[in-house]
Amino acid sequence: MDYNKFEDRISRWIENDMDVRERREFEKFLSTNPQYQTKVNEVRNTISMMNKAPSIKVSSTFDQKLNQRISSLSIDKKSRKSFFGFSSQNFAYLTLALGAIFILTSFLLQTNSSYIFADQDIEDSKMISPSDSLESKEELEDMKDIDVLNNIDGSFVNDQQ
Amino acid sequence: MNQNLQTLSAESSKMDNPFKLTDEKLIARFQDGDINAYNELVDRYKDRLLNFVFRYFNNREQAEDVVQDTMIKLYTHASYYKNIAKFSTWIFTIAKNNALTELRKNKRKQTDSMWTNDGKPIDIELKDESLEQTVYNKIAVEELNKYLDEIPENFRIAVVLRDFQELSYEEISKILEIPIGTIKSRINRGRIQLSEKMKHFKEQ
Repeated sequence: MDYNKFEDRISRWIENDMDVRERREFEKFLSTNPQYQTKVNEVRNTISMMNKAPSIKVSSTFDQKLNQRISSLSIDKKSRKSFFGFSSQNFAYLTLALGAIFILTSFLLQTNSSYIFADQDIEDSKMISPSDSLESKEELEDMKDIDVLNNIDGSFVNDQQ
Repeated sequence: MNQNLQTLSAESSKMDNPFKLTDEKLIARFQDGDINAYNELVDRYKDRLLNFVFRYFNNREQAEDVVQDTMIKLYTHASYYKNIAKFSTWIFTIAKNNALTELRKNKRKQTDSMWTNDGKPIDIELKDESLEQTVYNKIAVEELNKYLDEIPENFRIAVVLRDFQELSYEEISKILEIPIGTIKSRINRGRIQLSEKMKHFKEQ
């Protein structure tokens, strides 16, 4: 075993992560090169220091901050509670928009219907005018007759009066 | 009597024997809506995650922000945890990813590892020991942190997970998404480099 191989195996030997053959080979190397025992001890000492090292503690405000963040998350979640898949705010906007559309549509429909009825009246008047015109023609003819009579005999009107 | 009743109600509002529950059972409870289980998980992991994330930034405030983000992710994404991996592996992976994202955003700050941004000393948990021992250990820990910061990041993170967090090689391999053989090699290299720098310190 050379030095590099020895160094590669230090942790495995310390942690007892070797098979029997490897362990024997490693320990044989150590016994024939006692100067390297120091190296093993240094690594073991460093591991032990790290294992015992005091841990850093979170600050005293950690829990308070975390609770505040969670509360704001919950509030945000509540405000984002959905109505038919919309947030309450968006749902309000949507309701207003739909209301406006409804009013506008009803207004347009009403206006349109009055136009339609007006058109209908015109159509109706157009439809009845021929018969009316027939009657008025007769009346006109009567009037013409009266005029004619007036023209022929100017005393006719006077007589009638 | 009243006091006893208050104590009893306070006790009963807590989770029944949370210490007996594994992390995996706690996350399962939280997935079912038990907020006490979440609080227990936060208590178990906040310091561990801080000690891990701290090695990426060497800045306590930034590290704590990352731990907060990790805990928020635990709160909002608990349903993503599937009981096929250990909870610790999952939460450390989230913390690592958050730390890497944060690192990409900011350049790593070089600050004294034992001091906060405000110049206050970092609180460290000291075990019962003599004053002499305490001083010696404080110096040793400062030295350890300083030298740990000097070794390559890929070695440092693996060493921290193994020797500070005491995770298994398998867990570290999953968290860092690197084959176990590579992890073992990095940890060994990292330890050797550290021990060379720490030669003058002998454990007391």
